[in-house]
Amino acid sequence: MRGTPLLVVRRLAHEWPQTAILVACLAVSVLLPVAGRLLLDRYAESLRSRAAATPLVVGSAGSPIDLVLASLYFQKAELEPLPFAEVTALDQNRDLLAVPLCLGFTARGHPVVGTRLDYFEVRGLMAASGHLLQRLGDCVLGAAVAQELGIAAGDELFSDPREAYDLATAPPLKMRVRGVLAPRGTPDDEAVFVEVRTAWILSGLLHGHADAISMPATTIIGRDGGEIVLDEGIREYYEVREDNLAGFHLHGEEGSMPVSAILVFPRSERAGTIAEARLDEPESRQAVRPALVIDDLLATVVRVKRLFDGVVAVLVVVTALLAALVIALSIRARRGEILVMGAIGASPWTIRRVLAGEILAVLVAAIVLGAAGALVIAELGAGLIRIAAG
Amino acid sequence: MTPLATIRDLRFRHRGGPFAMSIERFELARGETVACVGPSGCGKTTLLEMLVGIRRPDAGSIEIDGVPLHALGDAPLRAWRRRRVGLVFQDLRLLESLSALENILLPYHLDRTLGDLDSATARACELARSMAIEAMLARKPRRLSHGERQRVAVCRALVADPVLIAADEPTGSLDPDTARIAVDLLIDAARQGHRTLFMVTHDHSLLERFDRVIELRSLMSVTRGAET
Repeated sequence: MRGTPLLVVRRLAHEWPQTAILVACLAVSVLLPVAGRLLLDRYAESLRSRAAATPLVVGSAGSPIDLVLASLYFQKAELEPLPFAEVTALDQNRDLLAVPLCLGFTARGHPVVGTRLDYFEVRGLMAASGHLLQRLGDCVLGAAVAQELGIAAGDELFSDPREAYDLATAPPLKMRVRGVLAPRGTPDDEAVFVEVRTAWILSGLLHGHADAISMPATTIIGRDGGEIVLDEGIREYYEVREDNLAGFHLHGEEGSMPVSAILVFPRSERAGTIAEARLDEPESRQAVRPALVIDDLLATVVRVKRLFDGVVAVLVVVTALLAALVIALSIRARRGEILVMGAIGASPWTIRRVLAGEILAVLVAAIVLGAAGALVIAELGAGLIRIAAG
Repeated sequence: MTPLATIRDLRFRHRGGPFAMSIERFELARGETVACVGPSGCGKTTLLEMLVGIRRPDAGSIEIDGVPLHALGDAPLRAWRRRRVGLVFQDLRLLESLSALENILLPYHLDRTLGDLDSATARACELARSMAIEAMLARKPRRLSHGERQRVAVCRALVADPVLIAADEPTGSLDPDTARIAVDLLIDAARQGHRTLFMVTHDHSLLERFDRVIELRSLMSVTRGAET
């Protein structure tokens, strides 16, 4: 190295702590807006792509945002249930594909989604290992769940108790892990999928126990017509096995069982328009287009982002002014050095070139560092976005 | 001896100040070592700066080695200074961020047209060897003794093979023994290369080492303030 580059590099290296602090401060003022922009773009892209792949969501009347965030991204929300009869009714329409979702349960912290095999088809989900759902009590894990919990096909997974201190609620269910889905980079990676009827076990609406007739006489405390009243000694099954599968039954009509939401996939645009109009009535029900809901949500996020941008702009200006002050003071402190270069015969242009080279090197380093940091944050943030979106 | 530098009818006045000087005629011979003495503020440094083209006179002519400095534009004057003058400052003014070798080669780093850097590096090493600082060339100035720094500064003044070495009180901050060594270093360097040395000094104990000593007040008429 020789000439101006040598003088620039030697100077910056000579005062490396000051150089490092200056570069770090400037890098942060580059990093914040770039990382904010990248994260927002990825967040928006993540939300939009999922919403675009879901034409219509039907749920009980309430917040459309809650309905969409819960049914597409499995975020926690208190959704009023729809009766399963709504699903059965939609199934009669050959122009639509209705996919029920039972939400609100978790297994080791991950959302449990009760649905049926159609869900895997419309989402393009394939088993990377094992199989998809086969029978009651089976579960299929999203790729991230399997990786995080260290569970594979053939293992078992307990659902989380809904109310830890309420003995009247359904006990945790030991589920058979039938398969693990291939990763898709969507909220599906973070979820545990079960059949709708398995979700009803989790809610206590479907349960299994030994046949009352075959129970010892000491557990029978009364008979009421054809019904047998048993004491509390009878235990519900906490897992579904081949030998107790027949013992599981619903208490009530299947049509009255709850579902949280129904994803509706019209087979034509016309069918979609008709379904949206028809399903948006009565007032107790709503049918929303997720893409429109997400656009509204993102419009709010963008407004907040503008406020953030304003704060960052002030920060950048203040940092730039401070950096300019530091550079001006540094040049003043180096007056003797600058004079000696001039006395030796360096032109003012040459001296300016050396000083400008130092400033440029600091700026380039700050921009590269800031941009690299922003990319790293955006990459790391992709996981957070997935969690936030899911 | 053939004159290297000739000053004629020089007039200079500091802008905004009372100081003014005029020199009717002054010559420096080629290969001559000259000490310039006089009380503080009499204009010794101003004269040195005009001799090397850092300052311009208000009137008169300065011709060095056939080049009329007073007629040159700023850029040619700087280019001439880079090629023909070696400067040694009172506080040496080495760049702390550079190694000793890089300090010696500073004129070449500031001006690529000055010559080939590889040849200059070879010459710098040769100069460093002659001044016994060859082993210190990779060190930063703060890791050198004052005497070693002095020799680095002299090497920097000589590396472009100048015809005139101008030294502005290079012994100002030195003890007598070190000052004597530093002056001998400059005088030897000048004599070995048949260069002219013009040195401003306050130290009268060193004057006997020079070919000629000029008392600035006797050389010119200097006016300041009320004496004007």
